[in-house]
Amino acid sequence: MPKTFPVVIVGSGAAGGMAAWTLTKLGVECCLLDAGPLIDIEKQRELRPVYDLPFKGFGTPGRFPHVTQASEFDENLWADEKQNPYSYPKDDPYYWVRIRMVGGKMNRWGRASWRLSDMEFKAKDHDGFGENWPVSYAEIAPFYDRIEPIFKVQGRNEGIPQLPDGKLLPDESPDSPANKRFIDAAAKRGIRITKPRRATGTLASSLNLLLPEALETGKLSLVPNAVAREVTVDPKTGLANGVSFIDRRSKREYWVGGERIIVGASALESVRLLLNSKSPRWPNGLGNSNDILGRYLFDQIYVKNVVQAIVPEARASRKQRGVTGGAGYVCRFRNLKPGQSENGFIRGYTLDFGSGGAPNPRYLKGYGESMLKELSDLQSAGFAATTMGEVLPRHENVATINPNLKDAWGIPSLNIQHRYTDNEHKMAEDSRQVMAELCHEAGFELLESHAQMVPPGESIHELGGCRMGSDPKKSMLNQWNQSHEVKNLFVLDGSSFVTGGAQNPTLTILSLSMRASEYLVEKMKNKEL
Amino acid sequence: MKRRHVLQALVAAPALSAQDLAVVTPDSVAKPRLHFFTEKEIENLRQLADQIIPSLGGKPGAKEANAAEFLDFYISRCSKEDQQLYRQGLASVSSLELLDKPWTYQEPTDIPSRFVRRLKEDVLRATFNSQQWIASSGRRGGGTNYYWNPVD
Repeated sequence: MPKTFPVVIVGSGAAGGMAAWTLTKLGVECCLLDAGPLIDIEKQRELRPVYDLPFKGFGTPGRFPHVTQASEFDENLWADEKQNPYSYPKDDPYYWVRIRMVGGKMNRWGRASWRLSDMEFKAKDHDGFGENWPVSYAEIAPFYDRIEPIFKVQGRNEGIPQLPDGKLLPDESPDSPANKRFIDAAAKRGIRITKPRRATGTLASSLNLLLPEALETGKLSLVPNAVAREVTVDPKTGLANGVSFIDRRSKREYWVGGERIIVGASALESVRLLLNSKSPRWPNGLGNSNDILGRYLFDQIYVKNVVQAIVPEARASRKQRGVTGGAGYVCRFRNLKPGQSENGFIRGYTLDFGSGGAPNPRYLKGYGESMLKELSDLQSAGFAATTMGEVLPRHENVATINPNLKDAWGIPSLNIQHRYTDNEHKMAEDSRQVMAELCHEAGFELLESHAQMVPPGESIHELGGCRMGSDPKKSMLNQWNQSHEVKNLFVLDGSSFVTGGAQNPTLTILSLSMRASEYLVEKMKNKEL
Repeated sequence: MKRRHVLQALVAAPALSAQDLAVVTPDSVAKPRLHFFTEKEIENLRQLADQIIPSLGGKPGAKEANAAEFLDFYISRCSKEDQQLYRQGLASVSSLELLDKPWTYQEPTDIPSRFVRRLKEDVLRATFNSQQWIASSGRRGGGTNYYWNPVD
């Protein structure tokens, strides 16, 4: 029966899924809308040899010009670019990568689960740039403590200040001799390295860990295929009163009433939804009196394979096996002291690295028998690393509605304007130089190094656009992810980030969502909201 | 066998599902038609591909894997820029000496250099992903992964 729910949630990934989990377990009835279908992972997929695919693993030509992560095996999972168009300035490509199905991008996330520290939460205090978050690490830490066990995050607690310890499953795997050499070379420069920190388990998604338990409470109405068009507003009160949406398959229009609205549709989709939620009271988008909505977009720079090297003693010709293997994580080491600006940039970067496996044959010169022999020799001799660096949130990096571009459901889409600046370029080059030197000092043969960042967005760590802050003139949300101007509206996803560091953001999104949801319940109990 | 015995045997036999039926790929029984390249272009492509990955030690090479024939189909579906690169490259390149230069992230600007870089990657991939190569590699499960069916 149509009714008004105590809470309507848009999006079922990390933000929306955690909100549904938290609220329903605390007895709050919720309606959860997701733009995509509910899939049965096991029935949806089947083992197939690559040669049995139409394009033999090359991927369907032209299907995903901006989704480099899509392979021919999984290209049906990613949001179709023709149905979901967007635009960007001619010379500044933006790669907007989306998954539209219940569980969202958590169905394919890389699972890296790092905490932010006060180096990010209080970044302005550290170097004077931008704004601080309206929360500190101490306020978020109790939620990290509760999220990590749910997702069975594995890693090492090593007392690294810029990468706070967590409630982790211990990782006691040894480092391979090659990795040890690299770690020792880094240690001589004061660079700390730890093991990767990742969620474990079969899927580690909202789909299998959060939503089933939320549904078990009997308090959750989950509506798949509900493409949200607009958060509606009661003209008398100025408060949000529901969500209009379109059924993905039939394109039939609906509206569901909600006493409180939570938006967690992913950073850019949430910005788009709020920008499209115009009314006489909010002509520039819901709660956007100060033209902040859509601004201060950022993500993280990625330099994929910043170095590609060879571990000499792992060559087959030298008959030493077991010298490579395993992965590691280079902790941020630049600008740890307040006010520092090493090598002309502020903030810092981290790196994922791994040894073992063969390098991509493109790095090997030549062709034919000699190249194939070399490739065979190098089967387990490769060493590679990828840079992940902080991007500065800037006013001019902004998502706006493109009134001339609509998706398959007639909803106006975004124009995304995002450009990296000198700070990011210098950071990328610094990472190249440091990693090349470390490879040399570790005794590796460097095949190639480079500092070419992937286009903005490709990291799938898009953040900001609806940021938190203490000052309503400079931010959209308060310290509880609550709209400054529309008190019954909460935005819980990555759009709320003020800074992002170089750490993968999902763990923080989950923590913010749990924290804000518990705050909401408290306010409901006190009849304050 | 009497007719009724045959019918009884048929009724008693367990039903086969579609997955139980042995099938083969079109490549293993049929010759593909050309989609994009001319006879002259495909011949040059075959020769270049055979140099990039010849048959060695009993393993199939690009020729046995029909890499050139697959690329003819694949390029026919690619962008005009890709098609032009192949067409101009095949018209201007007959040897692979340019591949003796070390690979760098700096994309070359001249057509022959750009073409041979692309060709090497495409030929290796088409060969390594072929049924012939995977069958000969002996790696259990090699080249197999989960395929996600289209979403309704």
